[in-house]
Formats: sequence, structure tokens, C-alpha cells
Amino acid sequence: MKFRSLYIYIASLAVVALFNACRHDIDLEMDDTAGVLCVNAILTADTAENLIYVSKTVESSSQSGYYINYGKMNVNSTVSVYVNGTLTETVDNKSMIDNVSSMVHRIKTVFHEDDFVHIDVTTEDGQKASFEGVVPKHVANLNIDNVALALGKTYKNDRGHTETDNMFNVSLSFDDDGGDNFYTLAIGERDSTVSPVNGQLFGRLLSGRYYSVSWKSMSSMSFYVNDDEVANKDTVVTYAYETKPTFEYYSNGQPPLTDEEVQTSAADDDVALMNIHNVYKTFCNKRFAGSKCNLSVYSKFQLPITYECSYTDFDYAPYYYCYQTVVVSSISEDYYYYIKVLNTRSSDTYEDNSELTGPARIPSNITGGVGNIFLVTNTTATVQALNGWHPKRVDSPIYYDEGDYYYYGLR
Amino acid sequence: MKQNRFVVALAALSLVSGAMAQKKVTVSGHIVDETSKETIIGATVIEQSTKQGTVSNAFGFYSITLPAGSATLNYSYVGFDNQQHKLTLSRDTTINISLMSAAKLSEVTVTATKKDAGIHSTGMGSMDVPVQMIEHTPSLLGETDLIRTIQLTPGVQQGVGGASSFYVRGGNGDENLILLDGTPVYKIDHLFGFFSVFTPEAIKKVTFYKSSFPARYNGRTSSVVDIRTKDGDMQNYHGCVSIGLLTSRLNLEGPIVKDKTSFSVSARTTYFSAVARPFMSDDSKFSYWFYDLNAKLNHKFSDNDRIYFGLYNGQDKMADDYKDYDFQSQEFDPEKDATITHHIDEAYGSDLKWGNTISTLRWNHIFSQRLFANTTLSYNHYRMRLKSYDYFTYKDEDYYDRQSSSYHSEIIDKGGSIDFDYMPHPQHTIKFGASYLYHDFAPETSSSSVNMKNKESLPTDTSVTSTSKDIYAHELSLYAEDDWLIGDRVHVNPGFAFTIFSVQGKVYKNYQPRLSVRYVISDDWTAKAAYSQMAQCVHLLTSMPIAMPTDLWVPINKTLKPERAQQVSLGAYYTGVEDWEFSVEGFYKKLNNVIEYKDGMSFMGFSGSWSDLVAMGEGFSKGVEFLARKTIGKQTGWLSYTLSKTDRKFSRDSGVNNGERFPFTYDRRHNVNVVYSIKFNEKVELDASWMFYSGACATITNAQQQYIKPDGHIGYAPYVPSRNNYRLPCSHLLNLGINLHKRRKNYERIWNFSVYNAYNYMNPAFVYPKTDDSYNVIEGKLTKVTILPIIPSATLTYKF
Repeated sequence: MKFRSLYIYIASLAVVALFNACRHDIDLEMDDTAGVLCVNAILTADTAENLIYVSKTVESSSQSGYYINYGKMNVNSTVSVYVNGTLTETVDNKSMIDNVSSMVHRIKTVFHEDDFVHIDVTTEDGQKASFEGVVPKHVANLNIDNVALALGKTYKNDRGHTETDNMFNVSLSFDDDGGDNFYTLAIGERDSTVSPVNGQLFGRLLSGRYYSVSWKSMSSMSFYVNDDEVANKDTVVTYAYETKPTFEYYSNGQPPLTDEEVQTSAADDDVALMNIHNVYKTFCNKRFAGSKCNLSVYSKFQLPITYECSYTDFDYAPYYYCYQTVVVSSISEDYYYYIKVLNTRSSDTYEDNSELTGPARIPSNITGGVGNIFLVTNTTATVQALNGWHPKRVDSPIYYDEGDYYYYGLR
Repeated sequence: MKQNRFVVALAALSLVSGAMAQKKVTVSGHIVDETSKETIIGATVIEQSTKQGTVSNAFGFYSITLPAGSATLNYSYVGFDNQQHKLTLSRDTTINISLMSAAKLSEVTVTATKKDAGIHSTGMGSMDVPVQMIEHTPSLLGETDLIRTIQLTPGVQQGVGGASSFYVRGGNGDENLILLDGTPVYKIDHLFGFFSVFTPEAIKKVTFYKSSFPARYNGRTSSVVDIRTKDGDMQNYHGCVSIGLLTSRLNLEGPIVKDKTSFSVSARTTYFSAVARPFMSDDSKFSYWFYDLNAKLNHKFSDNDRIYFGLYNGQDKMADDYKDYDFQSQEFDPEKDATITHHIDEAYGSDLKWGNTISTLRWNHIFSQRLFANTTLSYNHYRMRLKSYDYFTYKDEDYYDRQSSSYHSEIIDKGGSIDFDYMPHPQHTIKFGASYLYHDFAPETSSSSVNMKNKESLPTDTSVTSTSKDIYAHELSLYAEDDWLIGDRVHVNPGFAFTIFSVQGKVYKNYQPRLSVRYVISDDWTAKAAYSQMAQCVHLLTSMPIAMPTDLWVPINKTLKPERAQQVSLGAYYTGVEDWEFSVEGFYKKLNNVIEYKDGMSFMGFSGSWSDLVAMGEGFSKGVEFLARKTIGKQTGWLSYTLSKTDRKFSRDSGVNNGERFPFTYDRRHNVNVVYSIKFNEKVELDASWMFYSGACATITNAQQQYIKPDGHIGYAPYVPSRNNYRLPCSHLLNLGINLHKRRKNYERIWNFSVYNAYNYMNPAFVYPKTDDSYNVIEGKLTKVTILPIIPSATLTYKF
């Protein structure tokens, strides 16, 4: 074989070998991790009912698409609750299936701060798990110091994109006792309208018309006025709407609320650009231990009522009230670190099936099993944030027209 | 009277003798290769009767202080004939030595005599890596490689198969200080880590330390690879040319002015793209290319002054371009109530470049017989640039969309150092010095532009540039060490290094004591012990198990502290069997502020601060290494076995394994290396190496669990008992190589045929859950990726 032919032959071998990064299937040989007892619960102090979820781990599998074999997660079990050494209730859940993947126990024991709680879980097939913990104390002197309306506030969302919204800037404070304390913060809103008030009715209901009033597009009331006795008279219509406090607000206040600690505003990293966002709004007291915590957050504000009206001459405009509620939850150290893991899982850079890193481990505080039971004590404060006359349709600067419907914004 | 005279004479003679016996004189000079006048590093000088000795330093200079009177000095170095000089010393003397290369010697690896054996040096966990050893390591794709040779030594773990990353005694891959003529090299690999940037032809000497680090080495915590390049032949011109399947190399050296000025140039390039081109489609164009260039100038002003200028420049470039002309896209137009066909030209591609430029200027000055100094100025520039583009043109429609982006990262180091060798006393060889390094880290600059035009609007041109701030750091080091001979049996090397690292307004001080002790039990037995503290202020963020150009070197900052390591080693050494050395070394290493990615996080696809992705914690590593080595004869080689265990542990708030201890990714319990070379005759040599590693670790799950969210809803997640809970299958591979020599008067031709992974075992580079065509996980199965199967290669070399 001539040299050139030999070279091409050998070169071909080398290139084929190099480009062929080989993939082979191998069996996954590892200890069986299916069938482990799993217990989860968030037990809130001072509430009449709490839920405990009991299930088992199951093999990852694929049948017609990626799904979890929920049926295999079910397990009948008995839960015993002890408070300060005393058995307070025993619940089995043979008939209490809340969803297809776990059994739910409804616990009626009311927990109070400083209670020592012990919970035993026993399954029908003899598996046992347990949990112990102390109910955290309430937060002292929680106060909403100020709620300021921030119209047209420009901010960067979690993806780093600039947005503009009407926001409430809620400033709050509370005292810390200097121990190892951990918290979460949730914000809620309650709105109500009363119309008319003291004769200051902008408009009157007219006979022969349909009216539909929506409350933040969540609920609406439609009514037809065909009674001359009702029409052209003052009519009191009251709506009330309340959102359960959530973590869906923006923590880019002063200082930014990150999960490490309440940071100063001089933090080098733009909170919005961080890959791991404090989705579940947890923080510790490292920076203010033993003193007062002052911080502010932003929650979106939306006009209480959107009108859907087929009549252009309708100037129905009630008087409204808007309340902001803050819930500071005292949580355990276990819960704090658990939430940090959930924040990581929520980030854009994380995926369970990453070929590079593998999945993140979810911590567990259950003895004899996996999962978590967390004891939480909520401290709530509410303050009226805003009140006033809803602007008349034609006066509203934020107004747009889509066909027959008219939408109003806040002046 | 006669008796008195006799007594007086005897007394006078005694006085004179006594005076002479107490007088010390110093013999110093340079040790060079007789043929090329290349300085020899680490040559041994021993006085035969007193057993006092020394070694030549990094510039071939030696100094030994002896009692005045008769002395017999033996000069030796592996691969060279010994020289013996009988002297009568009455005053300080300069003796320059030229050693003749023992080209006909059959040994191909270290150590000519027992006295030269590395086991008799004070330091432990260190070894010389001669060029011959590198050249006799079976090649991969025609390239022998320094780093692959180091990977064959005990205590050193390989990364994924064939890659140039290495992990020493439980340390991370970025904890190895790799010095090229005294300057740290940031990026040491080409082609995703399968070649290092070091060409064997440019190398003069390599010393590898994995413990007992001399105080002059600072900046990393696991190992030191001190590479010295050739200065250039002062007498004759010669060189070599190698042509391989994918790369070719050239080396030339020679005098510019004989005995005064010389040069050495080595270059390497690849024609990978040309080889792969026939296998690509016509409309795609992929190219990969790299080169290395080493150049050195060496000028001798006098016996006391010498200046060197060295330059390394290397670059990789990978580009791909695709064109798809006149492809058709159909769209329903509601205005026309018809389907219209767009004729589109598209071109897209990317261009990735990365490389190092390192230049050093050094001045050697001999102040006296006992004091030698080297002053160095250095410049080090690492850069990486990625560009990509995607152009759409709608033909006949006056519409185009052109997008492009770029990403750029670089490091520039500028510094200087001064190092002294001071030999004030026969029992002491003192080294001390200082260095300053100015770092400019520019981690990320990215920009993008969009250039559009459609029929309804004028052309738009939008550009966005985002630049992370440069990070400036100052690094100052001071050190002192003493090689101290206590009697005939005890040799102690105490040392101390003090470093200051200043970054972002924060100043970190690191105190690093070092101590090595050697005790000669008998002619055949030696015991050693060592303790060292090391500190590290820069880290490498990696994204893949293989080296990627996007791997990022970053400095510590206000929140991430210097990594620190403490290591204790004990060893016993035996040379009672002729031509053989046996050793056992045990070590325990503790790392503080070691960095790991948080659970589930990696560098890929992230934005924002890198320090958001990592956490600091502790590392623990312990092990024992056994080595049996034959260094002389036609057959040479070694067998080594390492048993080790390496863990990591981070705090609960770190986001790493919930604060519980877990095995390090490269915690490979067992490691066996067998290296064998045989020289059949002057024409034929055979080399073989076999490696075995226990499997590395990965985080794998095969189950799902429920978890509860703070809003009370239930979620589902993989159930992971612990990080790195799974052991990959073990790895082993056999490499073979044969050299066929043909020597003529003016040249030597060498054919090398090698096979990497000769029995084609599919070693796991990494594994991940197997998925079906719809990307759903398949229960109980993993996909194992092997990067390098069996690879034959051939290289033709001419030496002239």
C-alpha cells in the first residue's frame, strides 16, 4: 500500500473514532429508593385545621409520556399527634383521599407558640416515621408603617426585563428577639366598594339596562334593572374581595429581600439579575438580630373594579377601600433551608434532569422516612392602603376601548 | 634543640593544618550540557568524603561550601556521564562543568544511581519528569503529552478519559499550579482537554510536587508542575520535525553568537479540519485549528550575568458556518386569503477563539560564590471570544433580519519577582524572594445587535452591550526556605510563605508554613515527613466534565475567601534491590473554603454573578500510595497503587447536600498504574501503560417523591438520598506504542505507532438518565458516554 493510501486509511480510522463519542446503555445499579415513607405538612399555629400528606416514593417511569405512577404513592396510614407529651388525636385516613397521589389527614389539634409537637405516622404495612419540633413564637410589634402608591413604577422582573406597573410600596417593621430566627413574608389585599355613599353617586342605575360589574375579572355580577322602583334611586351595592396572602409580590424594595438575609441597598448584585430568586420570600435575622427589622416590598395594585358595560353614558363609580395585609411567618431553621432549596429549583438555570449536575436534593426532617413537617406561626397586620371614589369612566386617564366594552384605570 | 625545633615545627604544622581545616571555601559555577551548552537543572554535586552535596538550581547554577583542602567532587545527572574532579581548595573557586550526554545509555526514565534517586531528596511527593519519560508515554492522536504522563503517577486522578485535567490527592482540577518558566498558565489544553499546550520538544525539565511544596511555590493548593523550557543550543543548530495524523511539530534551536547567544523555537499546529472535511456536507463548514509557539532567546553577558526572553503564544479557533439558500417557507396570508411562499436565504454560524500569550524576561546575576539572584518580569494574557450570527434574507421581498452576538472574557497578569539562592554555610542552602502580580480579570463582556428591515418600516439597527466590571487584584508574596543538613542522616527543609491578595477593597493575608524532614535510616532505607499549608485565591468555573473554552477563571471576592489546604505526609523508601526503588507514602489533607456548585446548579445558561452559583465548604482527603519502580536497564517502568478517600462537607445554608458530608466527584477509591518500557535494541522500543480507576461519583436518582410548597400545594421531585450518591463503572485502558528508529550520520528518523485504549473499553466520561424519543426518562437505565474509544495513530519524526 502506498504511503498516501496508508495515510488516508489511518486518517479515516482516526477521524471516525474521534467523531464517534460513543453512547451505551447500562443498568442503573443502585439501592432501591422506591417505597420510602414520605410525610409532608405545614402546620400553622392557631388554626382549626391542618393537613398532613402521607405517601411513598415511587420509581421514575414513563408510560405514554413522562408521568409519575401516582397510584403507587398511595398508602393507608395512621397519624398520632402529641402536644407537650400528651396525645391529642389519632387520625387514620382510610377514607380520606384528597388527591390521587397521597392520603391526607385532617388534623384538628390547635397548636400554639412554644408547644412541643411530636407526630407519629404508621402505615398499614408497618412502616413508621416521626417528627418533633417546637412551634415558633409570634413576631413582636409587627406594624405596617406606611403604604405608598407607586403609580407607573418601573422595575425589573425576575427575568431581568423592565416592566411598568402600579404598585403599592408596603413598609413594615417588627422586633426580633436576637435568637436564631427565620421568617417568610406574604402579602395579601382586600378590597371593597360601597356605592353610593352620602349621595355622591356619579351615576344612577337606569331602568331597562343590563349592568355587569367585574371584580378584578375574578367575579362579576350582572343585573338587569327593570323595576321603576329601583331605577333612578340610590342603591347600595357592596363588593368585597380578598386575596389570600401570597408570595407573589416584588421584593426589590429597600432593602432587597434575598434569602440569605435582608441585604442593604448597596448590595453589589442586582436582585433582579440573580439566578436564584427568593420566590418564597424567606429571610433570616442575621442583619437585624435583636433589633427592629425594617423593610419594604412592592405589590401590584389593580383598580378594584373593571367595568364591562354596553352603554357609553354609564358613569357608575363607587367608593372603594383597599387594604394591605402582611403576614410574617415565624418558621424553623429546617423550613428556612428547605425554602432555599425550593428557590433554587424555581430558578431558570435549574432542571431536574440536567445531564451535568443531576437533581438537587430536597432536605428532610422526618425520622424514618423522607419529606418534611414544618411548624409555622403567623403574625398578621392589616392597614387601609387606599380609599376614594372610583374615577368616572370619562375622567380616567387610563382608558381603552375594545369594541363595546370599556375599561378603566386609576387616576 | 633539634627536639625543640621538631616540636615547634609540629606545633606550627598543627596550627596551620587546624587553620586550614577550619577555613571554608566555596566552589560554584554552572553545569551545562557539553554538546549544546544548555544549562542542566537539578544536577547533583556531592563531595565524596564529607558527603556534602547540592543540586544545580533552575538556571544550572550550583554552589557548595567545603572545608579547605583536598576534595573530590562528583557531578551527575540522569542521562549524562558522571564527572569527578579532584581539587585542592584554598580559596573560593569557580568551576563550570560540562556533562556529556550518555546517549548510549539504555535507561529511559529517571535516576542513574541510588544516590541520585529522588527518594534521597528531602522533599517527598515530588518527582522529576524527564522529557524521555514524556516521549515514552504512548501517544493519543500522535501526541505524547506531559500532563498524560503526570496522570500515570500515584496519587493523581485523571478526569474523564484522555483529558488533560488532573486531580491530585483529592483536590479539584483548578488547584494545580502549572508554571511555564515561572509564570502560571491559566488554560493548559487544546481540543477540549485532549492535548495540553506543552510541546515536548520545548521542554527541558519538569518537576511535579504533590506534597512537601517548597515555600517559593504559591497560589494553588494541590500540586505544582514546574516546567522549564530549553534555552537553546549555544554550539550547534539542530531540531526536529514531526508529522502526525492530526498535528505536526517543528523545533529549531541554535546559536546566534556561539557561546554567547542562542535561540530555541518550537511550533505545533493541527490540520484537523482538512482531515475531517471530506466527512462534512457541502453546505456546512466546520473548522477547528490550534497552534502553539514557544520561542526563547538566551544571551550570556558574562559568567555572572545572563538574560533570557521567553514567549509562548497559543490559540484555538473553532468555527462553523452553515448556509441554507433558497429554502421555502409557506404562510397563510389572511388579507389575500391565500398561501404564499417565501424564498429565504439563511446563513448562521459561530466563531470561538481562545488562547494564551505568556512572555517573560529574566536576568540571572551572580553576586558572589554564595549568592545567586534571578529577576523576572512577566506578562500573561488569556482570552476567549465567542461570536455568532444568524442572517435571514427574504428574497424578492425587501425584508431581512440579521442578528449577531459576541461574548468575550480575558485575564491579564503583569508581574515581577526576584529570587535569591544563598549558600552561606555547608549545612544551609537558603532560598528567599518576593513577587508581585497585578491581575486584571474581565470575566464577561457581551454584546448583541439586531439589524432589521421589513416592507413597512425603515431599517432598524439595535445594539446592546453588557460589560461586567473588570476585577482588579494585587498579589504580593514573600518567602524563605532553608535546605538544612543536620549531620549525615537528617535533612530538614523548613520554609515560610506570606501572601497578600487584595481584591474589591478586601485584603486577604495568608500565612503558609512548610516543613519537610528526611531521615536516612540506612543505605537502603529512608523515612520522610512533610507538612505544608497552601492558599489559593483564584478558581476555575467549569461547565462540563471536559475542558471547555468557556470555563472561567475568577478571583475570590468580598464574600468568597481564599481556599486553604493543610497536608501532612509520611513516607518510607527502600532501595535495597538493585535497580529498583520502593516507596509507600501516606497523606492526609484538609481543605477549607473549597468551592462546589450548589445542588443542581452549573455554569451553563446562567446570567448574573457567578458567586451566586457556588458555595464554600470543607474537603477531606486521605490515602496511601505504593510505588515500585525500576529505573535502570533495558526494561524500565513502574507499578503504583493508590488507595484514597475524599469527601466534601458544606454548611447547611450553602445549598450543598443540606450540610451533610458527601463523596467528592473524583473520589476514586482505587487507582492502579502500570507503565512499562523496553528497548529491544537501538532500533526498536516498546512502551505500554495500563490504568485502572474506580468509578467517579454522580448524582443520579431513580425515584420520585412528594414535597410541599409554602403555599400548601404538593409538588413532585426526584428523590435524591445524597449528592454524588451513585458510583460510575470503573475505568481502565491500555495504551501501546512502538518507536522504530533509524539513525544516520546527520539525522534520525523515528516512526511511532500508538494505540490509545487498545482493547476499546468504553470508559464512562459521564452518565445521565436514559430517555426515549420523547425525552421521557426510562426506568432503571442510564446512558453512558464514552469520548475516546480505540484510537490508533502514527507519527513520523525527523531529528537533525
